[in-house]
Amino acid sequence: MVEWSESERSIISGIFSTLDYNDVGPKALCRCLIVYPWTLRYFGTFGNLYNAEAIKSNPNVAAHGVKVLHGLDRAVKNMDNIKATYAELSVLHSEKLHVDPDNFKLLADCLTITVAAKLGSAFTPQVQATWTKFLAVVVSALGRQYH
Amino acid sequence: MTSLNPKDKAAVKTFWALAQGHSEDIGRDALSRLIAVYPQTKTYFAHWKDVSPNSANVAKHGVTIMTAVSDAVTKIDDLKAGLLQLSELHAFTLRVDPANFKLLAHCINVVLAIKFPEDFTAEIHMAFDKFLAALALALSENFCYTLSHSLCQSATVSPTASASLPQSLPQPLPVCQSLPQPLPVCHSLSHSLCQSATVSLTASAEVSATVYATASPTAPATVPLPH
Repeated sequence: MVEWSESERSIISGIFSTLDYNDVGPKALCRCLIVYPWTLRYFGTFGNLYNAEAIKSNPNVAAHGVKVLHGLDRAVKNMDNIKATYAELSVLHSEKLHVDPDNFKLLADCLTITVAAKLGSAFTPQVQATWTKFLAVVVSALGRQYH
Repeated sequence: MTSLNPKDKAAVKTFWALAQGHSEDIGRDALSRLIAVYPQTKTYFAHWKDVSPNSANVAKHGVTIMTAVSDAVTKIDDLKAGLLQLSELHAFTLRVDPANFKLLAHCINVVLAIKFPEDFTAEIHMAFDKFLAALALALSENFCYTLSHSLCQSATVSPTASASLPQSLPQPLPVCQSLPQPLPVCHSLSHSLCQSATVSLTASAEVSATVYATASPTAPATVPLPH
């Protein structure tokens, strides 16, 4: 089981309480689709994704970005059992969506950069370390049920 | 060879014109974050007394690194040639696991996002990320012990080299047909690399065999090779 100190817990819940999910979610997902274009392969039904502008204004992408953030919220509320919390989501991403788990890390990196841009210098190296640890646990839990 | 198209290069140069003045701050912050977020990278700095993210050594080294990145932007059209000496340094002396270049690149991107929240757009991020990946590739290109032909050509011969060769090296030394003769010898190749040598006597310009080439002329004096 992953150990979280009091300080780490408060850093994570503190960051999430300041985030506007409707803003950060879409921004992070758009960044992932633009910076790592092979991730577009999972969104074939989303409509026009032919260039950066189209991606940024695509309502399906935006809605999905928000969904991802709300999914992360579940981990924030269950930090002591992220593995179990994400068991179903892991099965979904593996069996139904067929997402290569490497891509979780890419989205996590883009989310980190989006949050860094939002928080500015408040996103100190120590905060970044805690944030990265949290996302690493999430990514690991999401990849857990792959076989 | 990089995979940067003209559009990527233009984006990198434009953005860097904006960021260049802050290069020292960016370097200090990026290396500090690398150490804080990925503590395993501290293993490369074990020779410093203080390897904490806020130490003076880390700050100074961050500046060194970012100055080199900034210089690489000017060499963006041929990173492989422009970074040859740094590549040799990282491959033969520092022996940095190339996976760590990706971690540092991520930390650089985080710092850029913090410093330039509006300008570090997804498009600029993509181009800059590609540039850092190309830079990392140029730095790790010489890791393979099948040394590139350009290294062979820059070889110089040390008169004392043959005296310092370990006796267990195959004699005569295997050669690449396109190498200059007499065969230049490496001062600093580890014995383990020598022992894993394989020979290909094809005349192709592309080196397909292990060769013994000197490191750059500024390489350290002949190192006694362990037996």
